Amino acid sequence: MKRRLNVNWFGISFGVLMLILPFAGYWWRAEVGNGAASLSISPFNFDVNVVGVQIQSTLVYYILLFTRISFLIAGIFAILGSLFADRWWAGKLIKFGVMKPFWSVITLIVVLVAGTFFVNMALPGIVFGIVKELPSQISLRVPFLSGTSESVITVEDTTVRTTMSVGFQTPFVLAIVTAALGILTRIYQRRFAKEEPPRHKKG
Amino acid sequence: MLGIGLRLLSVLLVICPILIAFQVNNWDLKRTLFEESGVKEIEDKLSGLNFENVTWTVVENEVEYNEAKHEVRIPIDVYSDLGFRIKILEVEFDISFDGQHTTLRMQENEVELVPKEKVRMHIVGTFYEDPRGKEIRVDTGRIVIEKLGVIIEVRPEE
Repeated sequence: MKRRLNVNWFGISFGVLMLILPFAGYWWRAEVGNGAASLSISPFNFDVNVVGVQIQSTLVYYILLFTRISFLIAGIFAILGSLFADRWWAGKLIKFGVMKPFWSVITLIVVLVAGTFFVNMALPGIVFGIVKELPSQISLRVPFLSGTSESVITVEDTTVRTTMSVGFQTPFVLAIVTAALGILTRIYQRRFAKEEPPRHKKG
Repeated sequence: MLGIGLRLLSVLLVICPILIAFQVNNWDLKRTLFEESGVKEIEDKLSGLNFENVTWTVVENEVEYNEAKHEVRIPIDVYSDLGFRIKILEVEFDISFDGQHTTLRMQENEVELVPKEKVRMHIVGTFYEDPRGKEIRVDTGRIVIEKLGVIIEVRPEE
């Protein structure tokens, strides 16, 4: 008897994108001036560059490396689970990483909004506390998530003025598509939902 | 069993990178968080950005005065001991002599300072008397420089 192939096509697409996403590039980038400093981030890459010098962190490097590995495993599991969507183990494999891109997108946005609030609202106060004996004026205006602005810092007789550009990069669109496919995969997989077969006791 | 295995894999993928990062740095928290060599390199680069490393020499014997226009043109040799190139965008000095006050401004649109090299620039202004050979007092000044899109304006003290 020929067995009907039950495939979760959303899951296949999701799995393929999960294999591409870790190598697609940065999701968001901020640049101060014309290359004076820059920050490029994604859940898989992190680049901080100040006056042409890259700042590195072993901890961040390994965390991002393992996030990449985790996405690749989730992608493979999603493809396997989606190819055999009616098997009892398919749902478990798919569930392993189906929400990872969604939570990555949400986390990035929350971190960026919180970080921008900190730089715009709290940082000037902290700097005032450090240089309180000097006449200073700090006007930091980092745009929320995307845009360009000008910031001015005055300490004693010196005024530093620079533009700051921030914005999402093309791979972020891919991340949103992957996250949406992840949600669809999860919903569609309910059609094939099967219980784990009971284990037979030896006796 | 599969569910437990997958949950365990998730936990390992979170814990392992933290353990490995600390292990390769002999459990040194500071070295694990960031590499100090990069921070030191940035400190070295930024500490060089000091006007004490720029020497301004007025070329007194080449000062020009146009009596018809009452205009003076003063050449200045600028020597940079900085470790990088910077651009001078504006130079402005309020000066006084013999009870007269005037403002001298940079003639060039911009001047690029190259490390360990001397560059000539000029400041011009209106004087109703030939200032050559007279004692000039600089009251206030303003220098605007640019590096990598960051504009720094300094108002040197008297």
